[in-house]
Amino acid sequence: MLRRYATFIVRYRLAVMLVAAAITIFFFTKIGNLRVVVDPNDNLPQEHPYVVASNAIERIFGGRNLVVIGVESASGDVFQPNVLEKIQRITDGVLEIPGVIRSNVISLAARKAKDIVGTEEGMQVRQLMETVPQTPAEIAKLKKAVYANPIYINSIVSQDARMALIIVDFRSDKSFRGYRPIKEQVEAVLDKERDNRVTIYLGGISINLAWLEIYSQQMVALFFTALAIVIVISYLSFWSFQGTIVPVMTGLISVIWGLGVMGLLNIPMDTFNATTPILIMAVAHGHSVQILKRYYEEYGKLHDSSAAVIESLARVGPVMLTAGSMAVASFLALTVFPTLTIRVFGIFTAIGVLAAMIVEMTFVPAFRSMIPAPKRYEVERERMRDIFDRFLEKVSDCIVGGGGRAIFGTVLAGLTLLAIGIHLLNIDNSLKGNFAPDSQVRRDDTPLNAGMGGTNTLYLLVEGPEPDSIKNPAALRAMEAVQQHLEQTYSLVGKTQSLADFMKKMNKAMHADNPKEDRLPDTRELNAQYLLLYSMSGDPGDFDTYVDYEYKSAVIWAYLKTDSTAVIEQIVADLRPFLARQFPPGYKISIGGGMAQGAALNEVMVQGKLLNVGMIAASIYVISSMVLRSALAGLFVLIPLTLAVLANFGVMGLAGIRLDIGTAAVSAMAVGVGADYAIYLIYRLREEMAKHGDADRALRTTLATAGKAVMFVALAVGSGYSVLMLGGLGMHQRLGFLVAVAMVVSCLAAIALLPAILHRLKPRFAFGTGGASVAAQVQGAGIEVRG
Amino acid sequence: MRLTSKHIFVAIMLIGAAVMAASASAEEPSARDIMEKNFYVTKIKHMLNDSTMTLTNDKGQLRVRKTRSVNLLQPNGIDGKIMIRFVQPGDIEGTGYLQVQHYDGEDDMWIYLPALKKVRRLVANNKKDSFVGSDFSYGDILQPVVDTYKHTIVKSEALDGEDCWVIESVPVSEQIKKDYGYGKKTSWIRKSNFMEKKIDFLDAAGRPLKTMVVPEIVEVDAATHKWWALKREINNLQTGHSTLLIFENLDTKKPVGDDFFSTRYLEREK
Repeated sequence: MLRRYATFIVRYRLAVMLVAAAITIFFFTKIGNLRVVVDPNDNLPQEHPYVVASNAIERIFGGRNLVVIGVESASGDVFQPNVLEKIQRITDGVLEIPGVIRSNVISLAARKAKDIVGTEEGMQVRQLMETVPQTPAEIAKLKKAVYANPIYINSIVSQDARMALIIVDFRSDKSFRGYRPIKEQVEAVLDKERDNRVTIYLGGISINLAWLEIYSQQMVALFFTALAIVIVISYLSFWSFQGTIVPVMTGLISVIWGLGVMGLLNIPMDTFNATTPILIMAVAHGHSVQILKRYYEEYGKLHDSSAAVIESLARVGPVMLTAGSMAVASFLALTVFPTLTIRVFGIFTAIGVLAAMIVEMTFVPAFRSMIPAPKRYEVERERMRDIFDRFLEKVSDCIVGGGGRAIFGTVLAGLTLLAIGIHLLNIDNSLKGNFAPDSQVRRDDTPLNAGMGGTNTLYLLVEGPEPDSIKNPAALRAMEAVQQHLEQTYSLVGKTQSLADFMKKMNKAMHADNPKEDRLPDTRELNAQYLLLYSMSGDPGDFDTYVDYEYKSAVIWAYLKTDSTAVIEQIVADLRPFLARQFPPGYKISIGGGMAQGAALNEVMVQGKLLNVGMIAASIYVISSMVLRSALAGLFVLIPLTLAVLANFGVMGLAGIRLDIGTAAVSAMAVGVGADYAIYLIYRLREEMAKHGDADRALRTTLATAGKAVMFVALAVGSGYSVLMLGGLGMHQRLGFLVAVAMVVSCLAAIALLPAILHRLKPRFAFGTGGASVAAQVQGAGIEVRG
Repeated sequence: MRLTSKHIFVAIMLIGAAVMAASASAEEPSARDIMEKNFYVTKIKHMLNDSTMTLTNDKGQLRVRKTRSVNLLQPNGIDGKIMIRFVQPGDIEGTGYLQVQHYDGEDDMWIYLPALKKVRRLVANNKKDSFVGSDFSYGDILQPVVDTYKHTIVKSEALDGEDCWVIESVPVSEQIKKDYGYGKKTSWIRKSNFMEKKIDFLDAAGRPLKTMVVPEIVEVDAATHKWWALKREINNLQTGHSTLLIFENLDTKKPVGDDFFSTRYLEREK
């Protein structure tokens, strides 16, 4: 049937090519619609309690997209007119940036930075710095006022007064256009103020995410570098024009189709999916190489290009369709992931692989039959024994001659090492950890963390049973206790803020700044009356970031000096029972903020990872058992994958790479790509056995043909991916490294371990009815491997 | 002197010009005149009233406060003395606020907190600061005298069926612009009684800041042509916050003594 189809394609090759070209051009034009956006929400499991709380907090209080600007004085403290003027100009400047939440901008010069001070007659609420003080007396007065309000220390000015901070918050609503414009506009404001008097640092989650966007945009360059490497590897594999151009074209066209569909469906690219074109190119290239290898083989026998095209497609086509549909199914299975970005990855990759299959079944044979047949020297060269052949012969000798003992021994030793690595595996997400130590993100983060409470936020949302619940003295006291607990127990918590701080300050001020009265009021009425009193002097929005309008919900802000989710998880676990003891009944406390969202992500990643690998394995097992008509066959197909996954986790553990959002999908990728190897190998073995029934000969031929192609593919994919190690982003670097490792391991497992086990057990689905009872042999093999 | 036709011509021209000038001024008072009348039209000798202030934030959440107030105009006819007693919500009931205005200086303000049983003096605010968390600034509550702004009539137009002058007012100095926080005010003044119907405020940088509408007014003293707004609604266009102020039970008959406006009285909680 497939032979008839292949003949049809070759006959109407011109029409096929034109249609394929038209489709490619159509999708190419749709790539223009594609956007690269980093929305942290896309990575987050929306139903997770941390994320629900963070969304609620953002809706009521803001605080999700913070930018932290540190202005450090080169000599002396920041309390000098020219530095204060800079702070004022920066504050005024950022207030003009579109999307800024004006009431959430805080600095020495911000209108909401108020000095609450007690006088003989009452309380005075004044803006800290309405105009920049010029005389030493005025400056001393300002400095005294700032340090008399503890809420501002380590929040808008450092304890040692060397650094002042401007904290800016941006909306992420419909008008949101990504983090890069925010970063650029903030930098435009800062650039005017940079000189030798001050050092200006820039940080906060928005800036980190802006860099993530910038690095993602680097992927275009990386993609073409990967392409160049794949071209070189292809040429070195086949030593011919055709061998170079066809796999690369297949890859490129598949990527264009995949991207085009993404653009058409308006699915935005993010950091995670920016690496996906390379994966699609690699998979498509892999299939192309298998068919190409077979084409050369057939051409060597038939000496007719079109006949060879038809023969190779008819022989390898079904194998490719099997392997391809398995990959598509496994990638689509990722759509059960609760994080959108991984779902998008699954869909995108599935589309890409599907495109590769279609291209390989239509355009490629048509194109191949049109271009001139390989020249004789090219065919000769392709057949020449090279390093791959010598290696594969050694493997064959080991399996046929030595029963594969050396292979089993090596695998056993490797597994022991990997087990240690898996034991060491650390699950942790750190956004900043994605950046190189000398990057702006990491360089600026250290002084900012030293100058303020911390650049990472953890929020505790306190929801009372009804409006005005927050005025309840018991609730405010509980908030105060939580703040003290956080600041005293954890050295990494540098600062906490809540409405309780202001209530204490007001009580003190109303008692003529008597230090004994630096405490929370005892009655709800007094709290209410202080707040009313404050409203007679302050601005309506002054407490917007601490308490909602109905006094039903409040938020405790904690600033941390680390963004490691492992640390935050420990704090949260420890904090839970403490929180439960503090608040009166009816109050609900939820945890949110950038840090908690990271923790949520981490939690989901662990479950999701197992789910993800399990699901891909299951779908591969089911499909391969079905197509090979043996329940046992699926298990064999899983051998290289299992080894690749174990290697993935083990190497991560050994190399100290954390399991995070970036590295989590590597095993899924490795599995999806690696499945192809086992399928191609088993099919070729079956074909050879059907031809002559000599197991040893069949094994040698399989390794020399399909096995050699597997090595070409693994080499191309591995080196294509290793290009990512050149990227500026740690996440991409680790991804490149891990995929390269996974490729080496799954390739070696497919060309050495799998054939060794197959040869020893001789299962019926591969070797036909000649073999012994399969069940008994599996048992035997089990003992053998363990021994 | 012989009366020549030349003399007669000049005389007629002069009379004509005078008549024209007179009729013109009768039809069209100057912008300053209009704003001065507007300034004095609410200067009521004394008044008791109940008011409800509803504050709404951009998320639609409300704060409702009910108060009872007593007002007394001081002899200069500009400044007032105001005593506000909070009635609702319950946790601020009895809180008292006393303000003695000084248009040419800083106001005196005291607050009494029943939960603290103490009267405390409030330090004077900037004119642009919010009045008790509302969208009114202190400068909106006690309007500055008319020559603080330079006024121009832009046009006349009917607004919701009422004939109004549209008057633009710009601060006479940078300092006033800074103090009051407005770069420009555009007022729709009712021609029939000089009460404002609508005011648009631009901030110091010239961006739209607030819009106030005064849909319901009442003449509280026909003899002296004094009016009061029963309803004022003000929307902050930059924050999405809004304030609705409704007055009820206006009483301009009951005499109000000067001794009422003392801190001693403030402590009475009633």
